[in-house]
Amino acid sequence: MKHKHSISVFCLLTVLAVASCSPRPHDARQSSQLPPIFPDYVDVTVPVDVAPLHFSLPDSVADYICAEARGKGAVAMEAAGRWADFDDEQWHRLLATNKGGDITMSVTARRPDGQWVRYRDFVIHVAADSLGAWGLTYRRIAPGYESFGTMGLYQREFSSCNEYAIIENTAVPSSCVNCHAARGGDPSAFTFHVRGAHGATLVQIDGNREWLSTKTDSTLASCVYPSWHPSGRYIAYSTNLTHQAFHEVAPSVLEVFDTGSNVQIYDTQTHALIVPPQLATDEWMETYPAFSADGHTLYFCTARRQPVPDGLTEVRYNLCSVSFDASTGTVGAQVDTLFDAESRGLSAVHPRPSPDGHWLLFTTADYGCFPIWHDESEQWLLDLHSGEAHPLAEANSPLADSYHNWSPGGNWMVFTSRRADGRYSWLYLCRVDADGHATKPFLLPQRDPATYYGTALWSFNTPDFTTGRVEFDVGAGARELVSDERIQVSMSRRH
Amino acid sequence: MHGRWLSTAAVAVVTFVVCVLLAPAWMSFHEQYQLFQSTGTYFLHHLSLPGGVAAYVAQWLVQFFLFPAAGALVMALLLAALHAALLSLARLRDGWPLASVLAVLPVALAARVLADVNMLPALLVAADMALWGVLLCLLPVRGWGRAVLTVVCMPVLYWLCGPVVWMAIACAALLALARRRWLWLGACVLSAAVVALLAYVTLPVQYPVARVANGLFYCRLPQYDATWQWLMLGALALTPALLWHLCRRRVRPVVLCAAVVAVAGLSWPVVSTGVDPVQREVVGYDYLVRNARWDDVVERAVQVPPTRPLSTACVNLALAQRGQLSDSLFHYFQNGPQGLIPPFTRDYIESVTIGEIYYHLGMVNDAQRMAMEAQACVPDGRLSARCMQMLLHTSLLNGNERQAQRYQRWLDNTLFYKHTTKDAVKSLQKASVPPRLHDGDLFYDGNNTEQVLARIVEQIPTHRMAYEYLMAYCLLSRNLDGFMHYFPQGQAIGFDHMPLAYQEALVYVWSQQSNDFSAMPWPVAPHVVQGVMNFARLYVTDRSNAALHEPPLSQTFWSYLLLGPAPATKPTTSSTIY
Repeated sequence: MKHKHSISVFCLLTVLAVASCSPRPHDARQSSQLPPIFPDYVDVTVPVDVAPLHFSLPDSVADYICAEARGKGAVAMEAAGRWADFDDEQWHRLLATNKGGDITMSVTARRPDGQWVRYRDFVIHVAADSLGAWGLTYRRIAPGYESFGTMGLYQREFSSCNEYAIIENTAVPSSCVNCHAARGGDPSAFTFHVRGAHGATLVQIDGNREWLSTKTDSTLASCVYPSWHPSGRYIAYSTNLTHQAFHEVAPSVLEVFDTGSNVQIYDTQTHALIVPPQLATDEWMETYPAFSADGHTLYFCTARRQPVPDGLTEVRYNLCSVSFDASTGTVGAQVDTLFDAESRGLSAVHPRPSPDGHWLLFTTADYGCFPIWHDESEQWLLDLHSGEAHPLAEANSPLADSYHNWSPGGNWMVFTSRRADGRYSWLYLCRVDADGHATKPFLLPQRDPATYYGTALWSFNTPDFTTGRVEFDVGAGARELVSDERIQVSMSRRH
Repeated sequence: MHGRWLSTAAVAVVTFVVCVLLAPAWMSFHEQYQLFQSTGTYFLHHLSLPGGVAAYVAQWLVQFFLFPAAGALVMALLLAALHAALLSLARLRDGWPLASVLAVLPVALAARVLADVNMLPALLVAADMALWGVLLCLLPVRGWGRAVLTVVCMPVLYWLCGPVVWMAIACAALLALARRRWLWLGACVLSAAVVALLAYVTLPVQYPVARVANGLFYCRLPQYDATWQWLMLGALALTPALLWHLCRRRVRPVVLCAAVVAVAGLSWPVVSTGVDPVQREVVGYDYLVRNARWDDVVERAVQVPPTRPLSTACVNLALAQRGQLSDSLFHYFQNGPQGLIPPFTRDYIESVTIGEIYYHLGMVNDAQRMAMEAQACVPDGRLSARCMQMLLHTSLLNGNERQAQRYQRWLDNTLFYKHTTKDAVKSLQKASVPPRLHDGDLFYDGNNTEQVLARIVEQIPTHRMAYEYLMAYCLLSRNLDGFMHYFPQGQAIGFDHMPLAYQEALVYVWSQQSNDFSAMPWPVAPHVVQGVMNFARLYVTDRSNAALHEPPLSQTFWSYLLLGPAPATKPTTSSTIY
């Protein structure tokens, strides 16, 4: 008994001794400045189920930080170390308790010279609603040109920093995966495209996989840029002849452009492509289709063909829409121009209708169809009721802001941005209110974000929300891909 | 007893000498296509995959390949360790002299396998670890101890070394069989079953089964013919038992001498047949370019004329760096403008070298592009120290310090690249970087090289390399109109004499309009005039004349123009990753 008691005292003393080695702020100088934290989570609005917003200070500013988060009531949490590493459970309790309110962050940091500084407190707003999704799916790939190294499609649980691979191209060597989409964020209907020696388009519905060969003699190329019809029967694709040209003088790097593109609709039941002539014209290039949430409308972009690359700066896409009848799989004859970007000297791409049908989110650039390589690219919002469009000034940055998607509930959006260094695309989220205004975007949280984002050699592409975890049998899928057994899509007689 | 290890020491010495003299390019190649990181994350990533620890150790060692002597020492120790392990496993009393000689053969076979630059040193490290692991299993004297240790060790070895463990199991089983240790043999069989089960249960889902079975870290290529790899491992597995069986008694000195001669005679062909001539050429030139050894590039081109566009491009780059391109362009094999700036192909070796050419031309965006492409093309997806350095340099040149910092953070975790940014900044401050375009942007799609070079020359009239490349491009494209158009801009370069290739082109141009060479408005040397007359006479009267196809006439612009390779077709427009 005495022996056991001695051991317990020894353990307690050891713990206390170890704990006492952690630095504690003392003689802290008060500063009126906000802490220069990375990521910048000052005054952002987050869903209640977001993962902990870990942050740090630059090494030149501090080598140790103590952060305290508090809301209403007695709940508070602390994190200390080289970076503010908040405990997951405590964080979620804190946010749940302060749903619809604010969390106040106090940061005290130790400068490299040993002086402690207490910065001005800042606030993180906790929205009353959750994200309405399990997480995000995206592609991770180096921001390269013609070659792809190790890359893949991934999914990320939103309430934690856990990321899981859906498929990496190590599973099928020399392949590239892209163009993934789920029906309304529901992963039970999922598609992605594989390029390379064993290229194919996957359509997986309720776990049943079909590998399609979507290139036909009558179409330009394989199907890309998918958008599911809410019924799950149709997928709108674009087919594009994509090329690129390289800028010789920095800061411009690359232009990606099409020499031709059409929009077509794939019928998952008949394995046939519907190619309406009004979406496959010779004089115009139609691309980036997106079904409305109710499935009655198909949005897309179209631009006059120009000689490229010399005439590239004259290629400007307008936003258009056409009706769609799911019962017959036919497209309306009339094409409406919703946003005449060309007349404004802009090019509008990536239309994304909000789930409630009120808004159409899109990206503008000075020209072209690939805005991520344009520093001037911005997020815009079109009010589908009034026809008015405005830039999402609160979300935009001086550098490229591009591809985006709505959360299933329509209150949040995720988009790619190169605001950090102009080269690598990261994911930002923000809330969009009923008036079409955005909150300050926040960077997707990561554990030890300074190291993660400071060393990441990949960009995040084509983010989307997912209501659940994407289940994909990589082993079986890879074997099927390598087998080269495909369903060849045919041409439908319907227009 | 000391003599037992003489042969091992001999293996080490021979390996050291061979590597220092003949394999610096091979070592440099391995070093530049990895980026070892001294971070916990890097280690944990390797620990999470079978064979990852051996690969981690190998990558740490390969860092020293940056210095030929240090790299040679590493290789010497690895191969000597292999030899020592084989001898120790054979456990001979009297027959060790012959055994120590015969044990050189499987080591030579291992060297042969590694002579292929796509086979990675991790295979050798794994083989070493596996054989020494078998030795560990022999430590217990009692049979039960040995059996238990074998069953415990082999699965651990699988995780540390990867599928090389099958060699270890086979080696142990053969030794057990040879010595009739049935308990130990049973343990080997049991350990094989355990390893198979472990491999199945832990199969990484993101890799094909075949790749895991052959080893994730032994070859740079995700799909490869592993025949030689398994032959090597089979030989290693077989050797200890075979030596024990064949070398139980001491042999006469004459037999030993004959064995030494035979093994020495066999070993060199075994190793040298593993060297691919194309790899050797490309890797050799790339090594010299990496180290800016321009004189050595040119000397090598004289001894071993380049046969590939990339090698030709290296020679042309070296000539330009020595200020000799316009004089000596046609003294070396030329196969068209693609030998000046090769068109992009998805190849990690070519992209790196092409990037060097762009860098020296001041085409910074393209140099960065090639570094990115090369990085993406590395077959096993590993980062490249050389590419990372180029990305950092070009980011700084483009004024993107944040992007440069990203790359420096990776280089900070290496042994020898921590000061890359400091060195790059110093170069910038000293202006010892090539002049580059600052404005007047234009597109480059691989088809308008002449246009881009002309723009550089227009903006930077004193950019000698750009001008020489522009003129060489015109000559190699047989574009004499272009040559004559850009010719006057050469005044700004300040040549101290009319370059020979230009004289040859000018005299040819003049000869198309007049026979009176004395009236030429350019300073063409009399021997050049005489040369063109000789060439024309032979070309018109006897095209098969040997003199036309031998120096000096074969090393002229006229020979290239009229007898050289057919013009290459224009490259197609590029594809994208989008």
